[in-house]
Amino acid sequence: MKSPIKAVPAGGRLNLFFMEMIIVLMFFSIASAVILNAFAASGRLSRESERLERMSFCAQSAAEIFSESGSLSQTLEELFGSGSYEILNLDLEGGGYAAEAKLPLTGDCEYFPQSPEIFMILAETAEKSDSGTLKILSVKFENTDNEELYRITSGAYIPAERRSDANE
Amino acid sequence: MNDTKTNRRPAGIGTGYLSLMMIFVTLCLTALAALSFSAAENERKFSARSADYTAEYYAADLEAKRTLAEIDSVVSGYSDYMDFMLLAELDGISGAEYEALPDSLTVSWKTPINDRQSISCTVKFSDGNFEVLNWRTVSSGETEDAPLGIWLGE
Repeated sequence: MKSPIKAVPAGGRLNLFFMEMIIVLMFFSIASAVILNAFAASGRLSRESERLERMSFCAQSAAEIFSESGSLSQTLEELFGSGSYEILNLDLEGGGYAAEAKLPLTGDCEYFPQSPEIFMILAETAEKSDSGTLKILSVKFENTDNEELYRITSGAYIPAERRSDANE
Repeated sequence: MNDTKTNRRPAGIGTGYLSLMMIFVTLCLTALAALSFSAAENERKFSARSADYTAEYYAADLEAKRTLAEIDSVVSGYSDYMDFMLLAELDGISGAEYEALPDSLTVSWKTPINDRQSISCTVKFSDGNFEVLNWRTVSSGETEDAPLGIWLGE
């Protein structure tokens, strides 16, 4: 069965409609490629900003818990639940100490379903004096290439139990 | 009646309509892509600013706590809050203002967060312990109320 539509009519001249269609399709495919790139870039930017926002929220939660408790283990426990973390090292030198935990984001900080390769590293140091201890928590986010994505530092001052006796 | 055959227009879409439609669709898609990119870029800037502010705030908070530790370390060495040496040492702490009474000492200081805001802290020492009276974010600019410039009926 012959098609009623003919690209080259009997007269031999190329049908203008088909010529236009070919040009339009070519132009549209080029334009679509550019436009799709722009959409993809927007999606990437949006994911990036969401990731940064969530890292910031998670770090803020850790900083607030630490400000109140002054304890890395309590901060980890409240963020990730008991038993889901491990403090990597404990260094007792120079009157202070440092503790560090590196863990994938779970529990309250499980905000990265599309980026499970992000790790949260919490490090605690302490500056002791006669009057009390200033504890400093560093919250850092890293990817698997150890590239730092975000960091905040927070502190808690815990006065020494003293003094009503000392001042009497 | 003979013209009916010669004047007959071809059925379907004529030449040019397709181009017009394509231009319209492309313009629409371009506008949507530009809007989407611009919104995503604004969102990213906002997130970055918010994350930076969070980092700045907690850095300032830590600095304020460091000042508190310093002040506490000074005050804990004295039993008399009116002691001249204590007040001289407090004078040496940058930005600290104090009000000394025989039974209590109130110390205030500000730690800048950025060029617009700072953390204002007030701590009261009494009986060898301290109590935080005030720990809040304030504007670093002029604290006096600016006149609104409204008509007062005169």
